[in-house]
Amino acid sequence: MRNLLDFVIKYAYFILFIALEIYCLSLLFTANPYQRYGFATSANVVTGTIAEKWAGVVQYVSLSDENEALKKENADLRNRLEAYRRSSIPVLGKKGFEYIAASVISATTNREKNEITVNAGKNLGVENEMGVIGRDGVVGIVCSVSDKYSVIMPIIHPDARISVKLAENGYFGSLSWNGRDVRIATFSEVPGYVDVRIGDEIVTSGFSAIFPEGIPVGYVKSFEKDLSTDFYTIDVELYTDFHNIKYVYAVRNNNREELKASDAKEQKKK
Amino acid sequence: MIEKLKYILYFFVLLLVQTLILDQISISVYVNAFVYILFIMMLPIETNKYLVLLLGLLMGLGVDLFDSTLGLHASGGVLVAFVRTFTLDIYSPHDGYEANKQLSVRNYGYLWFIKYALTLIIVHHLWIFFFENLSFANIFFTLAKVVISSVTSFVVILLFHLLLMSKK
Repeated sequence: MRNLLDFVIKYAYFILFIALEIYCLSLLFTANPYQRYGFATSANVVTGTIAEKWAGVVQYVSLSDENEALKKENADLRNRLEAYRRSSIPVLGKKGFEYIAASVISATTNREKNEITVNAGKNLGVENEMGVIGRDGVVGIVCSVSDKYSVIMPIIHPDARISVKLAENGYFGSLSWNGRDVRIATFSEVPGYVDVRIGDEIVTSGFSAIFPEGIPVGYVKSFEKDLSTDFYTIDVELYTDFHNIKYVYAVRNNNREELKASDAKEQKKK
Repeated sequence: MIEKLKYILYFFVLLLVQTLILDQISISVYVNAFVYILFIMMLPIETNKYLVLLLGLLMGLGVDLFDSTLGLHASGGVLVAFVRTFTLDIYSPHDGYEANKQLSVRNYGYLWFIKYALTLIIVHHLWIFFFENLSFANIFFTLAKVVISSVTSFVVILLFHLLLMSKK
């Protein structure tokens, strides 16, 4: 007992260091993006509020550019609405998709695990695992929500998987990111007999119920065929410029509950 | 007392510069600048080493809360605080450090500062990038990040050091 006490006193500094590191690393390894609770992320009230105020100051400088971009987008949407009115495409389900607008208050792009924080949370109906799109295309998936803020796991996060397809012929696969270049993601699982061309557009598949079908993601920049498995690995140039992302829309799928319920039934039958 | 208030101010200034400015600038995945460790580096020489560990933890946790990287920078901060004790010993000037004399370029010279700061920066970056990546598969990628980001961090740290702490 005496020896133990001597040991503790002698190495107290080292022991405290080890204890703190064990504590920190256990925090790091137990928290994955979906499990982290509100307080511990940039969506918490204190850091969220500070980041939002600061983003307000910064954005003030770029207001006129942003206005211009919004005007363009508005016009584009009006045109599409008009085209849509004239056509007779049936609306998906009864309730379809709803969009929740939000401003970006903080975003990283130079990390291995990037993230975007926006100023809309439970108060506006944002929920976990909602899809998020921007002006140019898909941005990511909501991974943590607090009352006023939410954190988005962008395409440029190693855990993000988005179900996409070739717009041309509908062959689908999943999109992931290799951690190197924020403009490029990898589209895999396309079988080798498919005709892939540089410049082909990649859009969401709509299979996951997170995104509507056909939201633009990017285009084929280059591809190569793995001869042993006969599958393509396609480098996709992303439309979304993550360096310069000011506002986004969270996508609420009002049919999701029903889809989940019917999925569960299917599972039971099997 | 005023000295203490000054360090509390440094704590918040560096935390906010790190999270609101540096973490929002993105040039490349290879270029990260971590200025927050300057706080731990520049704590007065007479600061209790246990307190340094706790302040390292606190600074790291602060960064983690803004960046949603819970645990990553906290562990990095604690590591820098721990290594600081020995690094100070290794690079101790001939006649030792003087209490009440700031650990600064002004008091101990550029050569001392470069050795001291670079050691802590490299140790910190190796740790952070390894735990961010968590694999040896991308070891060259990780090492390239450590080298390039260490240089970036050093420049930013020197700048803020001269700006904030090298007066008097």
